[in-house]
Amino acid sequence: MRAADQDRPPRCLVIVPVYNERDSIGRLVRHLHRALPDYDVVVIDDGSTDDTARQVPPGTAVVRLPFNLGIGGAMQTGYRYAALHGYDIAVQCDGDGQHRPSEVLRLVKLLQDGQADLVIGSRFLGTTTYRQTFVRKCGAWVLRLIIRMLTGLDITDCTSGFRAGNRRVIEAFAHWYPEDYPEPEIILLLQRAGFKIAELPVRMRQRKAGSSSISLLSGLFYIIKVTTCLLLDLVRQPWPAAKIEGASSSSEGVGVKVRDVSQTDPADDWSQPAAAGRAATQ
Amino acid sequence: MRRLSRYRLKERYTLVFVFIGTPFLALALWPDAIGRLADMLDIQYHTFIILCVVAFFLLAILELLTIVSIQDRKIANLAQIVGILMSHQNNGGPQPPREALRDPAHAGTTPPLRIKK
Repeated sequence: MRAADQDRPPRCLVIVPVYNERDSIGRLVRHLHRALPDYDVVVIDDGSTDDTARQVPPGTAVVRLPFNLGIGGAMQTGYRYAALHGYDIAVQCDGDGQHRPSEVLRLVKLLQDGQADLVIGSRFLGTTTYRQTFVRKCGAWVLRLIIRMLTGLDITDCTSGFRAGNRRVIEAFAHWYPEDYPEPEIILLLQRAGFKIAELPVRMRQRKAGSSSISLLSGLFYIIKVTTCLLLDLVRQPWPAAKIEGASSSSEGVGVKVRDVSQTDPADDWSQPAAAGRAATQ
Repeated sequence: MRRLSRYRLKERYTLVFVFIGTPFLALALWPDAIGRLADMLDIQYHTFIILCVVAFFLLAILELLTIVSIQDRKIANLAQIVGILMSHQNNGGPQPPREALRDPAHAGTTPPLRIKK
């Protein structure tokens, strides 16, 4: 962060990826604006086939992808948007209404204290009332075990999509983001690149509308595929051809520094938030 | 040929197919070639030659999958840029500098793409 930026409050962006979430997106965005009046919100419509984008309240920035890219492609779009506009903190929040806007501040507080680069909101840390099927419980336990074996980190909710990242994470994600199984892969890749990862217990709602991106029936197959992908990630460079500023020695010499797009010509005002995003917070 | 004539297959990939297919066509027309080739190379077991052919075939598939992966990445990048640009156009925001819209993963930080033109 530049010296001039030290005095101003951090600019925060909530990224909401959606795919056919017409029944829940409007309510979620209104809740976000109400609970986080100082935050900008961008909805990434990942090629929905229904009128999800029209359900977003006016004054909220919407990025409509021309076709479905999957959760990885949609999330990277959000992080590229955040990097292009020079946001300091980006928060992922699922569009299905599971994540509570009131919990966002707790995640961001941890980032602002400098305790972590990425904070994961966990459904299973501490006492929880979150209900899960047996297959999902088993899957979560196996993933937790694999991640612990590969990274040494004990992450209780590896598939949580409720996350907040600082500027370094935004730049890294804008540069590269896993496409297939991003949530667990990111933990492994970030840890190998020297980022600090923390977990915080959060309350989540049960799904109210829409369909989950991970089918219950394909749970076992999902675990096999994720495990294979994680093992393949061990072969990869921690972050493709990028040396992340401030990362630990594990990423030294990997490549060149990630470009800070917020330091482009200030005259074009591109580093400022989108007009709709600003209007939404006023 | 039909795919080529209807512009469904590009010339460069047609060439790849021809180069891969020619040895197989030769073997189909002259099955004894396996034995002759094995004798010429002093290979005791003729089936080893078939394994070599299969390995060549797998390498060709790997090359094609690499091309597909690069194209997939390019398409995803293009879709992201289109989405962000359209968002700014709809919101009346300023146009981003060209530099900012380059694919960060390929913005001079990775080796040149391996697709030959």
